[in-house]
Amino acid sequence: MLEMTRRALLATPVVLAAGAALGQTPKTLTIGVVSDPVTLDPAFSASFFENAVFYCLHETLLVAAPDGSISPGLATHSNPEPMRHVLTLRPGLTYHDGTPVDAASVKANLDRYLDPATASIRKADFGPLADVVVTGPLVVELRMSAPYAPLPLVLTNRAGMVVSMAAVKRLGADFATQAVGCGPYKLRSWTKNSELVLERFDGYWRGPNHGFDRLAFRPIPDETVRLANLRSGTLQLIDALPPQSVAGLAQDRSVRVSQMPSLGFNAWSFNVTRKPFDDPRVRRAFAAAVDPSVIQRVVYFGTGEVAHGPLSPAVGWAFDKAYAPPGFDPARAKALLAEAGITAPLPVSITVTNSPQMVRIAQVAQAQANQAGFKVEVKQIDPTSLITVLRQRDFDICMSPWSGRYDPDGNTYFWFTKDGPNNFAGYDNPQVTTWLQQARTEADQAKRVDLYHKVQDQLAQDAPVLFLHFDAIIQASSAKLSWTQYPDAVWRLYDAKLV
Amino acid sequence: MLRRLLIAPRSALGVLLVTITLFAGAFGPALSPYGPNEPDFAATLSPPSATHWLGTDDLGRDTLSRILSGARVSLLVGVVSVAAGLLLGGPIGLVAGYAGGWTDSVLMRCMDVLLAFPGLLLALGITAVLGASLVNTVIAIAAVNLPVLARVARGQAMSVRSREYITAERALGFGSATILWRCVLPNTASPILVQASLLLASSIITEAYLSFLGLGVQPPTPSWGNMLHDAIGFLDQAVWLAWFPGIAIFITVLGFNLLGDALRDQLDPHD
Amino acid sequence: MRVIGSRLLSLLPVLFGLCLLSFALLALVPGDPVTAMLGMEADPAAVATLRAKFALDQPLPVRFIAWFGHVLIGDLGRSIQTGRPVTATVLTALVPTLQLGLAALVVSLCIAIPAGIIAAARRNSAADMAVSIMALTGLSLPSFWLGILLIVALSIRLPLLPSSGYVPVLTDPLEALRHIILPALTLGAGMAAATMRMTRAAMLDVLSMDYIRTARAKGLSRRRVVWRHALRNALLPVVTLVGLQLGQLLGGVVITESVFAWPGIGKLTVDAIFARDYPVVQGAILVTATLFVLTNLATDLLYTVLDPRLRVRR
Repeated sequence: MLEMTRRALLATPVVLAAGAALGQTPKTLTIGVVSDPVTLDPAFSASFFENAVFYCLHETLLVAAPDGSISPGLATHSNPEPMRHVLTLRPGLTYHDGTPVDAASVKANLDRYLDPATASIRKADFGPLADVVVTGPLVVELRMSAPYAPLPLVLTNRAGMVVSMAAVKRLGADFATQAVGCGPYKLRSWTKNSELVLERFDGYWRGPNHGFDRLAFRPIPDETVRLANLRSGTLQLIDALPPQSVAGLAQDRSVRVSQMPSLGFNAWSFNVTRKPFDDPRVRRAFAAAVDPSVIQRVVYFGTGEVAHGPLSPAVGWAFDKAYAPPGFDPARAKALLAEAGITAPLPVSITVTNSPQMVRIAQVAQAQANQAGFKVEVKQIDPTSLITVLRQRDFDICMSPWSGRYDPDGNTYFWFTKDGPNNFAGYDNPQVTTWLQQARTEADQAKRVDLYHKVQDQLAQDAPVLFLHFDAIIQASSAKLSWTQYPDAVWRLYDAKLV
Repeated sequence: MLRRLLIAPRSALGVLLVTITLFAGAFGPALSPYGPNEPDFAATLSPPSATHWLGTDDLGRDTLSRILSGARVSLLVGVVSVAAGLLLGGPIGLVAGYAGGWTDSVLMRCMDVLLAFPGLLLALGITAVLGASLVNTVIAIAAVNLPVLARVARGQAMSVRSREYITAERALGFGSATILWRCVLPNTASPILVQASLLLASSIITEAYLSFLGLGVQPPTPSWGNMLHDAIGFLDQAVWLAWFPGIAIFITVLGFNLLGDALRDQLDPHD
Repeated sequence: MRVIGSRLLSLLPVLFGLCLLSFALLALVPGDPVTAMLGMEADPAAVATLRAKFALDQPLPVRFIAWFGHVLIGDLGRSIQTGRPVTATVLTALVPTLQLGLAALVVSLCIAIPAGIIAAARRNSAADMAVSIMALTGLSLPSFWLGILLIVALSIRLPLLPSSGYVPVLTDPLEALRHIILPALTLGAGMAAATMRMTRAAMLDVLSMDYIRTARAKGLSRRRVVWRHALRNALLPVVTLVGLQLGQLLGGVVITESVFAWPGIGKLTVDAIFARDYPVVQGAILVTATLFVLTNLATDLLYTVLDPRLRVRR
């Protein structure tokens, strides 16, 4: 009863303000995140962990559900012709600063992403988008120069976030720290490296009375410390719970651990452009020498799943549960090495960043491969050098984890086609490239699945990468908090509430 | 002198601790019950027990064996980086202090630059440039030690320069190099040695910190610093992993500090 | 005055060398800020545009001269990562560092001075022994290990104090205090150890001097002699040490700040090194080093002011 009265009182912003004036402390959800955002401008956001704030502060044109299905967000989407996508905005919406979310504003946003002078990293997401045309006060048309099936999914990501162009103009470089969007919460204050506070935006399109009065994001890089703060009640929600803590929390009734498969994979690239991994037999030998189930048990503490191929279990329609190519077998590894004419222990290096988890995996792989006729050296680099090492192919084996995409295309096309941006291995199998191109344009889902499974089989033969693990998204919250988990590990906290 | 070092209780303790570390460094690997890099995936994170006296780490490796093996790395880095700093910084300081004038100004301004550069960041920058490895860690720490030793050497050389016996040598027509080698060096050696023994301690800590950041000794080779780094992820599950490498660093550094103190007391009658 | 002027002048080549060294080191580190920002999924065209925007495609000497020219007119440039002015970024980070340094200094002095005095006044007693042991322990404890142990004990086992983060004093004084305790203890322990030893040594020196013996002979109590007469003079070298410590502090807080996620200048520099944010690293190192040499200079001068003998000698 009391709760109902409180809700009724909170129903309008006017009363809320009165409540605050009477000295009620606002309902705040305090959240432990891995790092502080670098920028709040979606045009330049590159950090993965920034997403935690982005999807609360900003809103996307279309919305993806945890299962990957797309539904209308700020706009509804239709695709009358392959080259034309039409977006129709909901009427009466405004940004946090009161300026309208209309067709002109959406066009200005997309043009800003596309303008080479902006140097936005979102530009590439739009693929063959040629022109954005306003066809009505609330209608914009996206005209393509080639068919591009992933476009609706792109509009559910950061590329689909729209911001107040008035604020962009007014704030200039300061927009990065004072961004104005139209998400469920607006920026209240940001003390760098300490606390970022959002407060409820009552003009949100899903309605005014959602979630919490305030969200406070605290960057806490240390996983143990994040967890300790959750247990002590300082935090109510934390990101990236370490796998080794999951078992211990089963006893703790005040804390709830939430897990689900992520969209990505942890696979390490072989350098197929130089000795010794230019020989597929040597690659297969290494793959047979390493037992991913030990890695799953020792490094991941039983969370997530062993990976045999690129298709994530999070995308149910494409994933093949029964798929089991030839796995761990040291005898076969030795036989393959002998077949390749290698008799002495073969020196190879594994390059990893200083991420403790990756270093652990490297050491397990090292110990196992050394048993099977390799002589492995582990090289640590700092995270910034990783992309340079991968691009320059300055490695034998190098970690190359992937955050994943809802569509299986994202987990395959970028990685295993000859010119794919993530083809760090230097893999070139024309047959695989053809299959992946077909799968991209094929409308029939069953046929697509068939093509992806063919690719998967061929990858087991050619072994351009070493598939190790499908990580689980592991997050934890106070047991009293209800919220929705997504396989991209990002929160949309408009629906969070205490129960 | 050695006998006097051994009689005072504090210096005796220093000698004892350093001896233990040296012994571990020399014979540890031969004495350890397991290989330092020998994983046992069936016995990960097991607490101290009769089979594993100091427990096992996240990959099931024996902590005692890794600590013993890490002693060699820590000592190697400490001794070599101080020696390298001494071999370069000593002569620079002696020449600067003895020659004075422009030589002194130019050499010492260069040392001041290194000295004003925050030590850890200098080491961090150098390992980032050269890449993480044992050798590069030594180079980085030597670069931090270099200006400190150069300054001490210069100060000593300056104070010795004006003494009568040097003037006498000069009057006898000996060249600068000969005088530096025969007269200045022996008379400046002891304060430099004291400083070196104290730097040994700080070098071991710096190595541990670089490894702690993942920029030191490369896995699976154990160093006390990278063992501590690994332990951070398991403070909730296996706190002993953080205890033992820390204790090892502490004992070694304490030993060198005690020894440095004792040497200073011996060599500096003023105090 | 002329002494100060010439000393200040001699700092200029050092600071220039420092700029050159930090620039060269950074230029040699593999990777650049743009790849660090754009990450695994970067579009080559965006990389090229951004590289041009930050003039990273220019030859190194040109970049150095451009940067240094701006430094001379007091402009440290803008952060590549965040676009914020480096001067503001560094000053913002300096505030938490100075707070932490001050708190550590308070911890250090509150422990060290009384302990050092007692140890000297009762030379070779059990108290003296205890102080010596404490001092050596403090000197030999690696600070990151001490930090970890404090976190385990006071944040995880007994969740009494927050183990990371920074709260500005003006926002919430009580929380600010709670957040600063563990890092201040960690940082203060090492400083206290050195100060304790210095206090003890200086006190012993002074106590052996003639005027103290005279005072004792005149019948003044030991307590009065120690606290009233000896202390003043014994504190002189201690002041010097504290000055030097403050100078080194800016470089030395790196470890403590990373362990406790304290958003100070040490953490700023390390993070910027990893992000290859050249202007921030260079700006932060320049500011840190300038403060270091200035503090040292100030300490030297203060020493001259405090000790009349030195003035006469010069």
